[in-house]
Parts: sequence; C-alpha cells; structure tokens
Amino acid sequence: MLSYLVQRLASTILVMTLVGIFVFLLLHLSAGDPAAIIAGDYATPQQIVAIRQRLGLDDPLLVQFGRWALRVIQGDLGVSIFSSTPVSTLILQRLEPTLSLAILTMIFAVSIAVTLGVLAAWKAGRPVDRLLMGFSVLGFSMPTFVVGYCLIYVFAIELRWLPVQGYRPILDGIGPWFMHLVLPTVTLGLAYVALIARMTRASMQEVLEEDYIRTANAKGVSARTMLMKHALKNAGVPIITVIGIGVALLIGGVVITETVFNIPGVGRLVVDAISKRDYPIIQGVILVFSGVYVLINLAVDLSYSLIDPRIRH
Amino acid sequence: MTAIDTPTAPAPAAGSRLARIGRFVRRNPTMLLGAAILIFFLVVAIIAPLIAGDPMLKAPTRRLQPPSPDLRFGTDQLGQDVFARTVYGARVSLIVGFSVATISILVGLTIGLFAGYYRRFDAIVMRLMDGLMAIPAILLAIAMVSLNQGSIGIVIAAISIPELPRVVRLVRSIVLSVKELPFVEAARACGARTPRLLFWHIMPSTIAPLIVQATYICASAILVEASLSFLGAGVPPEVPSWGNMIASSRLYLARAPWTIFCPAIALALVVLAVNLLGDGLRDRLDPRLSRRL
Repeated sequence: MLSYLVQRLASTILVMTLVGIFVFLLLHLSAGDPAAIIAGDYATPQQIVAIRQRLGLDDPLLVQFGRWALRVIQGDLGVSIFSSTPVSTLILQRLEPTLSLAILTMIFAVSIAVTLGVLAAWKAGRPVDRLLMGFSVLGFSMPTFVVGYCLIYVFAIELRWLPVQGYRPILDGIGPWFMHLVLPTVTLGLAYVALIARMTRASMQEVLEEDYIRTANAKGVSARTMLMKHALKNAGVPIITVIGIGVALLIGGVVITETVFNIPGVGRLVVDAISKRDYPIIQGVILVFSGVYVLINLAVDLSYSLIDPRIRH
Repeated sequence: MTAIDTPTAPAPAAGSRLARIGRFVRRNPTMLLGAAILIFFLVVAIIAPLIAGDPMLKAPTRRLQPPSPDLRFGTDQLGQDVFARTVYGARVSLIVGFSVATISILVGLTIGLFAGYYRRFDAIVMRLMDGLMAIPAILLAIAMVSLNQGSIGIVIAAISIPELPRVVRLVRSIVLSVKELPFVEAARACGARTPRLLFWHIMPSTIAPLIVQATYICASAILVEASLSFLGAGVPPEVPSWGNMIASSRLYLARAPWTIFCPAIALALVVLAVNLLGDGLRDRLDPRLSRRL
C-alpha cells in the first residue's frame, strides 16, 4: 500500500508539472509577444519594454520556467493586469460562491444520478429504463447555458418562484443563499447526472447478473436490500471513477453557469478576464482548477481499496 | 474486430429488400431519427443563401419583433433577422463539429498507432496525454483563444487539442491488444515493415471504434464552440453563430425569448441528433465500447 501511495503521489506531481509546462508554454509560444500580452491592449511601447525587463523575458526559456515554477509552488500566481491585485487573492475572494455551487451540485447530482441509475438497471429494458436513458442522452445534448435560460424563464420569470440571478453569501442567512443556488445547481448538475446515471446503470447491470444476486433473491431478500446492499456496493468502483472524471465537466460547467446566473465566483473571474485580456488570471485559474481535478482523482484512486476490499495495492 | 458485415441471405426479390429496409428502420429508430435531423441541418446549412436573407443586416426600425409569417423567427435587439442568423449559425456549428472530429481523429490515430507500437515513445506520449487531460477543456480553449486573435481556425484548434487524449488512449489500447495477435505476427514473418504493419494490418481494427468516437467528439465540439462563443472566447462576435446569438441577446430573455430559444433549440437538436447517431453506431459497430471514458 505504501509503495502504491508513493507511486501515485509521484505521478500526481509529474502530471501537475506537465500542466505547468503546458500553461507556461501556451503564453510563450503563442503568436504575440508575451510582454505585450501581459501589458494589455493599452500599454505604451516603453511599458512593454519595462515589463519585459522586469519579468526577465529576455532570459532563456528554461530559466524563465524555473523562476515561474518556483513562484507558483510558493502560491504566487502572478498579478492581475487590470486590477494590479495578486491573482491568488482574487481567487480566494471569489472562492465561496464557487465552492457553494460545486458542493451543492455534487450532492444533488450524485444522489439523483445513483438513484436513477440503480432504478434503470433494475428495470432494464422496461419503459422506466428507456425513459431514464432517453433523458440522459438529452442531458448530454443540452448546452449548460440553454438549460440555465430555460429554467430562469420558467421558474424565475414566468412562475416567479425563485430569484432570476445573483448570489447571497451564506453568512447573510442560509435561506436566501439556498434559494439563489437552486437553479444554478440544477443547471450545472444536469450533464453530470446524465453521465453518472449512465455509468451506474451499466455497472449495476453487470453486477445484477452475478450468482450472488440470484442467491439473494432466492433467499427472499427485499428488492431494496438486494439493490442497495448486495449490488450497489459491488458496482461502486466504476461509479466513483466516473464521478472523479466528471469533475472536469463540472469545472467547465461552473464557468458557464456562473455567467448565466451572474454569480461572482472563480468562473466569472475567468470570463471577465477574457474581455480584458487579463492573461495572468486565466493562467492562475487554470492551474488551480487543474490542481483540484488532479487531487480529486488521486483521492478517488486511493479510495478504491476502501470501497472494495478485493482491490489491494 | 474488423467491421465486415455478416453476409445476409441472398435477396430473391425486391419485396424482401423492402422488408429488410423496414426491419432496419424498426430496429434502429433513434439512430435514423438522429441521421435524419443531422441531414436536415446539413441541407439547411448548404442552401442557407437560398432560404434566408442577410444575417448581418441591421434594421433599427424593426427591433425585437416577435415571430410572424413575414419574419419567421422574429428579430433581435439590433433588428437582425433571427431566422437568417439561426440558419447561418448551422454552418458555423457543423463546420466546427466536423473539422474538430476529423482533425482530432487523424492526429490522435497517428500518435496512438506509434504509441501503441513503440514502448519508449509510448511512455512519453502517455504522460503528456495525462497532463493534457488534467486541464479542463473549456479553460484550455479559453486560454488559447484569448492569447490569439479569435477566428474559426483558432477555435477549431483550441477544441481539438483537449479531445486528443481520448482518441490516443483508445487507439493505443486497441494497438496493444491487436499487435500480439497471430495475423500481425504472420504479416511480420512475411516481411511486412513497420509502417505497412501499422497502417495496413493494425489500423483497420481501430476504424469501427473511431467512427463511434468521432460522432461523440463532433457533438461535444459543437457544444464547446457554442459555450466558448457564449463566453466571448469563441468565433468573432459579428459572426452569426448560435453561441454568439444567445450571448448577445441574453439581456432580452424576458422581453424577446425567441432571440434566445430559436438558436438554443437548433443547438440542442443538432447535438442530440449527433449523439443519437453515435449511440446507434456504437450499438451496431462495437457494443463493448464504453461511452466517454
């Protein structure tokens, strides 16, 4: 187990190093002059020269990368061009809405998707199953922002049950906080529900054909116990894997959902940076989100042996 | 593994051929529905100038007109014809979808073939792919587009690169399992050189799964392009793409819902059609291929 842990940690560090190299090269190999990009659209030639000297952009690429990587490891993600604030500060300021949305969506999506997937596998081939799988194809095909606008139109504009847009901090009261997050959570969760439900169904169907399920049925175990205790536990590993992989989907969705619902989170930070061409922000957020994704998938890998004692490393 | 149709009983008369087509339709209703919708949009995209007016024409006197027999989908906040823009938007979406699918499949196939065959190359390539996979696709595309001047070409490249790891992994896994099979060994014994071995003997096994993968990549590319345009990091804002239309009209959702829902429905329909086609092809060509992993 220990050697596996060391090996997994080493490969995680390797992947993060590669992500760093990609993000670094993206700026330095792109069509324009990095100094001009960092200086922004309204900089004078003198400012560009000053930036080039200050950042040492005339040094060899390898030296530049080493210097940049050292700073990133220490948590210094650079400074925003537009607001002259450290990128790490900007991200921290906007963490609460994004974390609230992500955690609520996780809880919502996983609980709904696993239930639906188990139901579909149990009734495989029946109308319920076909309906659910049809819904899941639809879930993949509806763009996040289209789902968002449909929900806003029906539930906020026509029915007036929920607020149209915006965000309330959790410290202002849990009620308003939750009401503002209902529609974004459903919007963001839909594709994720479709993904996990499909995998749950496939994995459950395989398990339901096992001998011990027939035994459980024969000895008169109730359907609920059979599904939840005997089958779902053994179908767990692929489901957990897809939950981890799907986080990438969730991260892309956060950026769009926060824009549709005007939520001042990390995703909106990136979108606002696009129009201002504030590259340090985009770079910093990519590094943070990639890091989160890699760490979540590391946790998923390490959790396999907890879920399924047959897996030993 | 190779996609060879099992020979069916010889058809004695035209009647039984008709029956066979009928059976095919009954067995694959959703796949054919998907194909039909996709062909419909393809035709619309090709004949766009014949059925729609100028998508760029701004007429301030007819702003936010609701749909009427004269203006089928109404007008937007700039007085532009929503029908014409939706029709021309099909061109952008389909070009991006097909280009991304073609590019990522061809590049991924080449890398995957060599990675599966050469051990040392494999170790490097797979680590690079791991790194690439860890970057959320939309963010990588946003970075690439915002660093370069936005154009359809950049958008296509920015969407293709994050799709590569999936293709490379798929091809590599097939090569790894196929290259040990007796027929490859026999070909090698007969003196086939590596390129011939790879492209003539091993590559055919990858075609069926790649066709299925191509449809999924096409669907996801159309979605990502629309998302990028919606976020302001896609094709230039004046180009009539569905994402751009939704982004520019989003403040008018309550007053003029047609400006949002016409492109939105078209977008969802096309993606749904490609996904249905992909699911149907998967079931026919390679039932074991797991989806999107």
